[in-house]
Amino acid sequence: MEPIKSIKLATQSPCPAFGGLRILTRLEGFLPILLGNHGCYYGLNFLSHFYAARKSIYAPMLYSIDFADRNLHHKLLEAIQQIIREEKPEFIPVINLCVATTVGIDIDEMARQIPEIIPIRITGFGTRSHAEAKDVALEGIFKKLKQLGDHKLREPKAVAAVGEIFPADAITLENLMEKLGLKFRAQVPSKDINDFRKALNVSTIACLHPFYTKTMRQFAEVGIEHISGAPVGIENTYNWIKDIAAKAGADAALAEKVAREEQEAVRRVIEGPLNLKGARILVAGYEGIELLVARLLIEAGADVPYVSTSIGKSALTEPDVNWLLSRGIEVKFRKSAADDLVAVKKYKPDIALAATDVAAMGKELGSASVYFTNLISARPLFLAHGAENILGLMHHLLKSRNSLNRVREFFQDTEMARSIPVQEVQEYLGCSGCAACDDREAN
Amino acid sequence: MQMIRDVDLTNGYWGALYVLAPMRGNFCVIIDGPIGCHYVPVDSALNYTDAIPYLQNVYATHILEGDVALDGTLNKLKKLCGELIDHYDDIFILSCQESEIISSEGSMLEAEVDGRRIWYIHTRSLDSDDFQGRDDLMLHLYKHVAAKLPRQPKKTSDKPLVNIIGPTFGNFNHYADFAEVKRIVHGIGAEINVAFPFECALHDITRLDDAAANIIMYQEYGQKLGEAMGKPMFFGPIGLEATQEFILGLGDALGLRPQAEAFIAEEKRTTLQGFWDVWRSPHQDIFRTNTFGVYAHKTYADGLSRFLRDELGFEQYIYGVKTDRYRSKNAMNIEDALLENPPTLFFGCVNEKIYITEHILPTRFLPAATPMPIVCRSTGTPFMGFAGVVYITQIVSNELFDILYSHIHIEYTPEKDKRRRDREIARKEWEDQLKGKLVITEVKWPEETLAHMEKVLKKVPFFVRVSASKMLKVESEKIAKEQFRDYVTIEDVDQVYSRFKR
Repeated sequence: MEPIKSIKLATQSPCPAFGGLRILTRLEGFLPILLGNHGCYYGLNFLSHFYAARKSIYAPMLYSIDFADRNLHHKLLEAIQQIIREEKPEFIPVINLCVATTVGIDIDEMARQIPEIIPIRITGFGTRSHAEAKDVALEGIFKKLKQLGDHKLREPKAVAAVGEIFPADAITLENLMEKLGLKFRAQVPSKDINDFRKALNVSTIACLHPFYTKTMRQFAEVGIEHISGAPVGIENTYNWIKDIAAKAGADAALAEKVAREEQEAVRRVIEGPLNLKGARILVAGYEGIELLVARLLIEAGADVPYVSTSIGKSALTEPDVNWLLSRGIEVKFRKSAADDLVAVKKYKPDIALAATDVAAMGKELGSASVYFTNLISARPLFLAHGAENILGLMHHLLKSRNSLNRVREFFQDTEMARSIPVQEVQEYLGCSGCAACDDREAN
Repeated sequence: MQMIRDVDLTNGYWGALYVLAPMRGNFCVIIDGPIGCHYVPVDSALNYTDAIPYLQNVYATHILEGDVALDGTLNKLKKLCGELIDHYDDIFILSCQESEIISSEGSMLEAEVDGRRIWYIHTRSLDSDDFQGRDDLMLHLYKHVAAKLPRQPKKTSDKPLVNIIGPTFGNFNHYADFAEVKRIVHGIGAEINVAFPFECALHDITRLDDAAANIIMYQEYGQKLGEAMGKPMFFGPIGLEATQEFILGLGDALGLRPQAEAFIAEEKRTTLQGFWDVWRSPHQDIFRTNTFGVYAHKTYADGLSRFLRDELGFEQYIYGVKTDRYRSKNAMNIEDALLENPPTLFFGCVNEKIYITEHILPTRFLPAATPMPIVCRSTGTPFMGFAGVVYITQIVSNELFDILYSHIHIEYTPEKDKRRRDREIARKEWEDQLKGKLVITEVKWPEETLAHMEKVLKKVPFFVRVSASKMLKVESEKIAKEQFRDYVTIEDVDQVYSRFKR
């Protein structure tokens, strides 16, 4: 995959609508409907059924003749009403995809006519990444709940978290809030719409992932303040606990004590035998948590030369980005796959945490690369336990290099389907890519 | 207009991409579409249908807001072609739904410069499905593209030449079926001319006419090309008779009848030996007392029906062809069909697997169609040909026996202590009763609960019904007793029944 120079490419992302479906299909009582083309339906169902929820997604077959039909709006309304009679859902998110948005199907009007509808607009040309589509979905849900008046029972000293996290991390947050004398009311997105209702009635939001800008605006409108970041790594753990305590009105002395304790616990893990001194790790994520992961790895002594993400820069990313930039690290927002590939070739990392395509390239080059979503996003990250988990994983990956290179070498003499020609791989490895490499690496 | 649940076919663009992309050669594909149309078929879905992390030589215009609202994609396409034409002999621009709806004018770029060519493929994504897309593009390549490519020399061989049309990316289990079809072709003494598109280079399509016969792997697509070539056509066979017909037909068409007959005879002694032995053994008895359903693409739906029903003696509860629900108004509702009459075994895609799980049906699911997120790259799992006969027999047999094993008595380790306490309490009650210290009221079965148990038992495969009925009765009564009731409820029965699925 050579970098394309002539045109402006979109950010590396699966179809952004998948991000929306990931939130919407997981909500119990929700019946998602897609409006678009059957090609979109097939791909998005396929992805959603194993990365979001084992739940049906409905859609009308729309052919070019339908887009020219002046009665299309009414026909769609009737079809939706029919579904409501049969399935009795609590809410129906209707998602306008590229084609439906282009021809101007008016889902806002539909929502005025059918109260169960949550209108959501996610397109491949307008929504910048699948992470940001999650933000669009959350924004839509919160708007709906506010219209229904579900935001009027404000509770002081109560906290809710926004961002998909590993279940163990949610429990970690709950315990932490209890230590601070705060109430942890909800973590969204979740499968329970009541969690979203609870989130609208707390005093402070912890925005764990830095792409929920639209969602934070929804909270700001009802006077709920937020903090950004998460308790990951040494510095962030201390800062985050102090931040949330100050915003939510916890006792300052207590907060200082808890923050110091947790920070020390993280430090013990990070500076202990699990440290990553001498390991070079490339962090090519796409959904916002890569900035935190990178900081954790750097604190553990790893050499992280490059951090990239699909999301855009915002006030929510600022503290982490400044921290990384001040250490001379290359940080790339709205990256393309080619950006990551160039970085893999340039920096020769021991481990590349990346999307499937770039992780595949990394493996061809003998680096212990893994798919970010499956390996990193599916793990606890917070406090000492999270640090232990991520650093432990890195050590596993470093140990796996021998097996990886054994297989790579087996195929080295043959022109397989490759992202990088054999000769380039050999130049990259600085030798013929033979058994000697493995011996050298093993020693 | 009707809402369709879990749409399981895609559009012409995917079909066209999945025909072009497997071919070798110095060409590339440009997708005229937004990011999703690039990454979903190339990166996400392909990672599961074909277990390929991504495709080389595929580029995209990545349509952005400005292109939709103002500029169109022509400029981007022009620049991309300009950059890529130095590296590739042929560039194929594929339209997709979004570029079609904004009426992108990619066709204006069709050109031939210094022996390098730019092709524009209008995939009719707004209206066609992926099978039509494959069908159309295969024909288009043969009729319009091949003529402009350098003619490749005819394969020198004293054996008769055969084309294999299909598979493409995104089929189900195609690597194994393709390997089996190739094995048969070689087995009767013929040679493969072009295996299009799976094992050929783009320029090889100029040699398609050299073959004496065409094997069309799937009934779903490829036939248009087969008809245009005008040679005898044979379709990928599933089952004993179908495979025999296929081999003999091919033998006749190629003048290899004796070799074909000899091959079949040899197969009976080798590949099919295992099938014969399983068929003679008790396994085969449970085939004839069990049921199955299939909801797949036409080749697999028909093939599995013919083999399992007509040759192995299964009773067929459900038969459905996936594309029918888009093409006919009377298409079967698969969820209703499953609920009405759940078969013991069901062949389908991930959607049906979800319905079976959602409704807690006892039906065992076997993957047989896309979309299905499993790795299917071993060539040892064919459904087609004689090797397929053995493989299908093996998987249905193992699945049925696994049902049987799940009903064989087991003491669950975490429950052992509780069970022991229960026994002691029961013993004491019984002794007290004999000593006249206690009057035990028998647990009663109300009419409605009995009727429910009958209904539940019907879902259990016949060959394990006796043990299941015993277990249902004893365990349901135990639950009732634990809750100090003297009658069994429908919920008790369901609770026990759900354990069967472990």
